[in-house]
Amino acid sequence: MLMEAKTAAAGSPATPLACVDCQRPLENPQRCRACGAFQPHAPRRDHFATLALPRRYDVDEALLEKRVVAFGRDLHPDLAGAEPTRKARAVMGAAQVNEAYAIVRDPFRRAEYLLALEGGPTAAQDKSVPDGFLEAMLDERDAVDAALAAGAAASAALEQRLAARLRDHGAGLARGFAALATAAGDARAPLLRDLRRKLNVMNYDRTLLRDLRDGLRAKEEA
Amino acid sequence: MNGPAPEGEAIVGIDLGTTNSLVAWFGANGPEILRDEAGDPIVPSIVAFVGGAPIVGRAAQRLAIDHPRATIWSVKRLMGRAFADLGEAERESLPYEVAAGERGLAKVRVGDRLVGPEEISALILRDLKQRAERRLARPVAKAVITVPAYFDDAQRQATRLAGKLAGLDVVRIVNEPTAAALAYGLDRTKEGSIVVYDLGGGTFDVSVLEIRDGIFRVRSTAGDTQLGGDDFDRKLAERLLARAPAGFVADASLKQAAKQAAEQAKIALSDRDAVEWGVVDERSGAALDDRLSRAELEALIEPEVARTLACCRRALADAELAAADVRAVVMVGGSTRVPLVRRRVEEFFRRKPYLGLDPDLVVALGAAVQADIVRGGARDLLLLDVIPLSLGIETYGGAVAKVLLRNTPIPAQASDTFTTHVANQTAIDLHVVQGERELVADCRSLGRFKLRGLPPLPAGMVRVDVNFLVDENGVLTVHAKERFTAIEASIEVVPSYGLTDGEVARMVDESFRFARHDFEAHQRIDLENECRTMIAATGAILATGKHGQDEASLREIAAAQAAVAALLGSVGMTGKGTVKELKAAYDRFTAATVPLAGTVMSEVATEAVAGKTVEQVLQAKAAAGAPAAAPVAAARPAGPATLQKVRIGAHVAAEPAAADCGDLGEGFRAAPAPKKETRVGKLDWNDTEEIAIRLFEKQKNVDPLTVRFTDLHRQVVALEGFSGDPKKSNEKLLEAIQMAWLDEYQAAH
Repeated sequence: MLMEAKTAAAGSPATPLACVDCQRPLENPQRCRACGAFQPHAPRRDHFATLALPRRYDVDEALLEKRVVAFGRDLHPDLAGAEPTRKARAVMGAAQVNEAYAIVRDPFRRAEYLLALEGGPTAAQDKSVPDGFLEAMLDERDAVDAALAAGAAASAALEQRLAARLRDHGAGLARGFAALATAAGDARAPLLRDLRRKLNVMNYDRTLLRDLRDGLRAKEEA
Repeated sequence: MNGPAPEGEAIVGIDLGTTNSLVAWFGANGPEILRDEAGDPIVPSIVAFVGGAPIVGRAAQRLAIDHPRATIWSVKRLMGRAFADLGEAERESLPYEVAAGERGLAKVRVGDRLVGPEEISALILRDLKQRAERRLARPVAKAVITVPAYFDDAQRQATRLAGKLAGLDVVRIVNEPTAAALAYGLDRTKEGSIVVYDLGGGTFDVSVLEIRDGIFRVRSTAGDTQLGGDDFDRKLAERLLARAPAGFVADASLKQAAKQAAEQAKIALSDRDAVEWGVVDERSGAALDDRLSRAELEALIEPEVARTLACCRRALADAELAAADVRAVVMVGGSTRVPLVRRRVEEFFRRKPYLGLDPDLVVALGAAVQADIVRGGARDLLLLDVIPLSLGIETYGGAVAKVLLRNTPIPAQASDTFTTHVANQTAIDLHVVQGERELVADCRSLGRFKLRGLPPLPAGMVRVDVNFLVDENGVLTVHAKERFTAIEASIEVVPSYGLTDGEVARMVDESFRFARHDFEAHQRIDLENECRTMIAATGAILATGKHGQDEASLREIAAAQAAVAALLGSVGMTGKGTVKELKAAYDRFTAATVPLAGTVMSEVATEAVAGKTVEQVLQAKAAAGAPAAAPVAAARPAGPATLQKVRIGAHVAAEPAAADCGDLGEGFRAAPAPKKETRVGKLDWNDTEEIAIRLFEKQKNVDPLTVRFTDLHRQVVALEGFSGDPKKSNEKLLEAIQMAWLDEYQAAH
């Protein structure tokens, strides 16, 4: 029990899991490539471990894509046969990989998830944003409406500006998590709060960009 | 099934179309259509009930004009649908009579009896099965059947049932566009994103797929299941009949004849610039003629084609792609032969659509490929599909918390945590809904189930983890588990009837059109809930008299609270003012109460109060002899058991009163008033050593080596003075506590 919990908590590819059947190390934590055994469902495995990726903000996107395709193939229910346990493990494993992928590929969701793993505050717990930010966002909201009214060129310019800002947020998060990785003890709390605040700000920009794109599409369809 | 077959078990692939159906199998040379003796690949999806046994296919088609009310076609439109959900226009477009059968499902009246659409589909499937058995000279008992990507659970179930009625075990239901992509994937595994544009007789589907290393990943799908070549025919027929002179009676027969003639005219215009066409009423000899140019046809159908492009735009947006990113466009369905369709698609994607395979055959061929994969054939080809509509749970106030979003790959799972909104609720109702809108009223109900036997906790203390799992066939299972008591319940969602096709399309459309409005409605509900909680919490703190505020700030709090209260609605009704105004009032209230929060307490107190109902706080205060705080009490419904999205932490904190801490169930007693002999002081998850020491004192008979993490979690949360957020434990922390406890334990033994 204890050991199992330990493995699940550690969950990093540095300490590879072993196949329940053949005991060989698992490249894909959900299915053994050596003997083909589907592994028991581990609902508490973190999303990075599920994809056999290091648990950190910077993600090798090419590797992520490769993992998802390869693991998706390993775990495809069509290849599991009819035996119920194998089938169930394949379905749960594939679902777990799909869920992990959805979160890890998206910088915002990935950062939210990592922050939770690190014990940082949730958005509901800490809604803080920099001074004057909300006023600025009201102006930005007006800018979205104005761009939509002004037409395609204005909208495209705003879209580019917002997308660039989201990239900047991503870079900021990367720095924040890098700092967190080297911090210990009391130094962590302010870094976690800072990450929370960065995410709060990023979420506003995400919403703005989404509304702009929805608005654009609605106009195109009309 | 009946004895050994020469080459093992055959699984056929069936395209059960609105207009035409086909059967194919995977032979030695790859997928192959099974044709009839005359070489005809198609079985028209038509059944005639004339005389004795039902007549299927071409023969039935010929009877349609003379027996319009006994010849049933387009029955696929009725599959798994409720009579009440059919529009009047839709019913009138069918020359036979549709009525409500059991459970309100749409049925077809044939003579004096009602026949279900799945029974009629079963007759078509039986015909295809017999054809396959003749061609393959062996029994055929298993099939893969294709459906539009937009078919919901009920429609898929109805399709399965039709197969069963026809004596077929339906081993897989596959989306038509993805089947088409599979058919193409055989010859060329093109790497990158491809679009499948499928305009059939009755439905339109567009899918964005990504092909990589032999895996087809569906990125997104969109469509309109009330849009297809039939609509082109209907428009032409309407144009013709509109020119009928007085006295020319357009009865069901004539309408049917006009529709068939229109289809011929449309087909002819694919190769010619103009066509003479019309119908003759053979009973009176009256003729109705029309001259139609291709340009006129195109002008008539342009709006329908534009609608397909709107779907393409949406599918691309969902896949996060631009038209330029698409590597290939595959055309499927007979209606893609219409030159205008090809032209518009080419303009839209700025590349020539791909037409390598016969668009009428491609879906059946793909179904045969899928059949071979399911059979365990050696094909190195896999399909990863997506869910067509978002799935969620009803929360307090009629809002929808979406748990799985549209276009999530399947198998899919996702979890969300909910809490109770009313104190001492011992059962909660989980309402599973499907749709894109923010409010339950605008979504389709898929099913309900109850989680019973919950401990009577204060509102907001119960933690229900709800897990959605969609398997490879798109069947949804919902599982709910209360975190501390481990009480659980689940259902496999099989609705009595699900979404109508039109509804699916409409709901997606509307979700875009109404996105802003819905968002505000949802926001409003959340915000009003939050305001009430804050008013209650503030009242509770002020009532203690230990708030440390001066007159001025008390006045500001009262004014800010009044401003909020003025905008709040009564139960079940939203209040006055815009969301913006309410938000502004809320922000002011928040700002005014910040100093209050500063005077008080720990995080757990914050949570306890934040999650608590007004009654509860007020009751507690009343019990303690404090003055009751104001009119909000009446605003709290003592109503039905509903869920509230878990929100932890509020801007206002309060001291947890002893009376609030009640019995939390066996083995789980919330912090009672600290006793003198125990250590008092705030404990958080990170105080692992201290927690371990206290655990060792409290739980001498529990072996830390064998303790379960759920129990450990419970014991820690129940520790006197523990003030951490129960949600914030993770395995690492629990493990650390466990290890520290183990040290204590071993030192003592």
